[in-house]
Amino acid sequence: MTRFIRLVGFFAKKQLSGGTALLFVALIVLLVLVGMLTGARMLKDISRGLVQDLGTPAPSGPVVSVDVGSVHRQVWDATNATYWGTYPVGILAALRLTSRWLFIVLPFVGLLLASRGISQELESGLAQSLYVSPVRPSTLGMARMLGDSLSTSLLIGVGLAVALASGGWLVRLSVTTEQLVRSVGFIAILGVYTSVFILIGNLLSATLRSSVRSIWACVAVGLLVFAGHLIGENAFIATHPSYPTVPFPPREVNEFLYVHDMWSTGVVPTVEELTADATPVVYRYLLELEAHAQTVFDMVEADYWRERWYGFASPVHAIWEIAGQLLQDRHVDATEIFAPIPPLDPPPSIGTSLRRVWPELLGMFVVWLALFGLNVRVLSRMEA
Amino acid sequence: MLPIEVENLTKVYDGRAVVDRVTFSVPQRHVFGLLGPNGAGKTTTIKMLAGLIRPQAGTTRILGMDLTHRPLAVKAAIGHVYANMAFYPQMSGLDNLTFFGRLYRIGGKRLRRRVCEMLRFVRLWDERKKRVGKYSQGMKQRLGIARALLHEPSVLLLDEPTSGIDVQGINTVRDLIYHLRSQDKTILIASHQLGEIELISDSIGLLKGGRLITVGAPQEIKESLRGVLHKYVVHVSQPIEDFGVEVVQRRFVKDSNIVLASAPIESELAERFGADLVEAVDPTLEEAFLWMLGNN
Repeated sequence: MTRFIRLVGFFAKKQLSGGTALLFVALIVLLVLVGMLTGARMLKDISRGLVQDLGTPAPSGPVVSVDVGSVHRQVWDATNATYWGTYPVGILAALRLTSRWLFIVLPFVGLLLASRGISQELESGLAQSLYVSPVRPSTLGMARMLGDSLSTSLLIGVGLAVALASGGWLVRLSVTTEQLVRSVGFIAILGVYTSVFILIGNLLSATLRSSVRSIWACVAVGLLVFAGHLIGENAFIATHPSYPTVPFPPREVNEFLYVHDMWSTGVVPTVEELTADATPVVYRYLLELEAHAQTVFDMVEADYWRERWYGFASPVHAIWEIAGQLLQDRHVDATEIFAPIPPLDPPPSIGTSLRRVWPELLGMFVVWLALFGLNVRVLSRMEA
Repeated sequence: MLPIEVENLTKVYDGRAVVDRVTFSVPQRHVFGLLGPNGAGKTTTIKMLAGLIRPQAGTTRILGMDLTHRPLAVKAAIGHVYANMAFYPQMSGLDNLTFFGRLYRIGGKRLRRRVCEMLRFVRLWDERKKRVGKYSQGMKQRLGIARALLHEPSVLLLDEPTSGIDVQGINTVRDLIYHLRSQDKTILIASHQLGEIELISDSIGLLKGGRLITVGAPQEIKESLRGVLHKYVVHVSQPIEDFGVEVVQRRFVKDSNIVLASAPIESELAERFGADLVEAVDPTLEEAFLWMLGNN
């Protein structure tokens, strides 16, 4: 066991000491910084837009708040912002807005970092020195995979920490302990996500036995992931259902709401809450409104689950979903948009956030395990 | 129990047997030379003995242990040196040896002592902190010998250990092998350079096209060819094109013509060139091997 741990440490150190590692950290820092600055600007524009549209005070910093409105107001919101489902603030907003690019870049990084590892050892003859030693090839392989994955996770962590600290200072981001915990958790998941691609790179490297061929194969896989993501996203958007519009209230309903001072809150009462003076027209409209809400609710829910399942086909989308859940402070997923959410509703706990994305997390873990097993099998049969 | 026993070892690549039912054994404290042209199957045989590739058929026993059943124990008992040894280039020679020592479960004071001893033995002590990437190929080969000896193996497998290094480096590596020979190690050395093998080997095996065509002590092999291969020196200072009889090989060296034949032709040559100009001599081992390679 001690020897195995030492081997893991050795391979991790070897990966970290390479020049590629520094390049990798620099790339992450650059990407996140650019993303953070762009994100900060974007959120500022959204805040300005909210002031103009709703007349609400501008949210401070990169924050988008959820309005608690009437059912039809919320349905309307849902049609526009179904997948904007969560509203992170501070450091979480920065991570979430910038990490979308990381989801595409990290597969390339993982694949390329691993692409030459084994094939280069085979080409240089180093593999003979390693595999002639009294250590099982599978043990060597497992140590290498864990070492590479750990070092890459560490690189991602360092890169993101440097970027968030410097970027946060530049755009004046706030940070709380919980946000920090969520960020660290998310960075760890990013490490697992990247290590999935490290395992693919390792597999290609061991199977193709040539650095050049392996690099090209890894680039091809990376492009495939990217292309798959782009095609999938566009196909998803193209097939997005259009929601029915909210039925226009007749004049009588408007008058009723005005008389009962319901315009100021924007909350339309339910049929049970109606006062005795409500006319049949008001009753009918409210029933129509509730039916409409139910229709849209069903559509949103179906769409939401369609998106969740799509996450299994596209790893980039899956990690985006995880980011959406983990990097949030308040409000949850689209189906809950119909529930009354108090303005200061506390954010879900980290455990709740993780539970919401268990299918994606489980899927990623299963893929990781399968690839790990396949790697061990290939490496234990490999001839040096 | 013999240190190295190989029986019907076979390896097939793409339907072609690159090692074909090879059988030999090496007694304790012997140096066994595996000879053959490029592509004869020497490296593949050594790699199978080292457990780096799996044979399709046959058995290999090192110190009585079957490689298939006890691969780790066998690997712990052998030291392997190959052509163009490679190490982690960004690490120093000292760090590389320490890393490989740990793979052999050597640790603590013993590891430090062995690493120092080996670095001194291969004359790399002064270069121990230098990155291996800056080592010459000769230095890497010496470091390779140090790595192979680190765990004090009883059996050494040397595959073209002097390949790709300069003359000075070759001499240093040769000296090290001579020294190892005197240290009671059982050594299997593969090379295509007969001169190198002949000098140090107790017995020799000749591989051709994956098959072992002869095994024995150099003198035995030469003697086995008496009456089969005949060598004559014809002291004529001009190259002779036609000897009037069938010859296996002819060449002109200095002021003489050297002739190899598979039948005695002394009388025919004496009749054509004069008896005082024709001399019958023993073929060299190299000539014997070349003849064998041509005849098999």
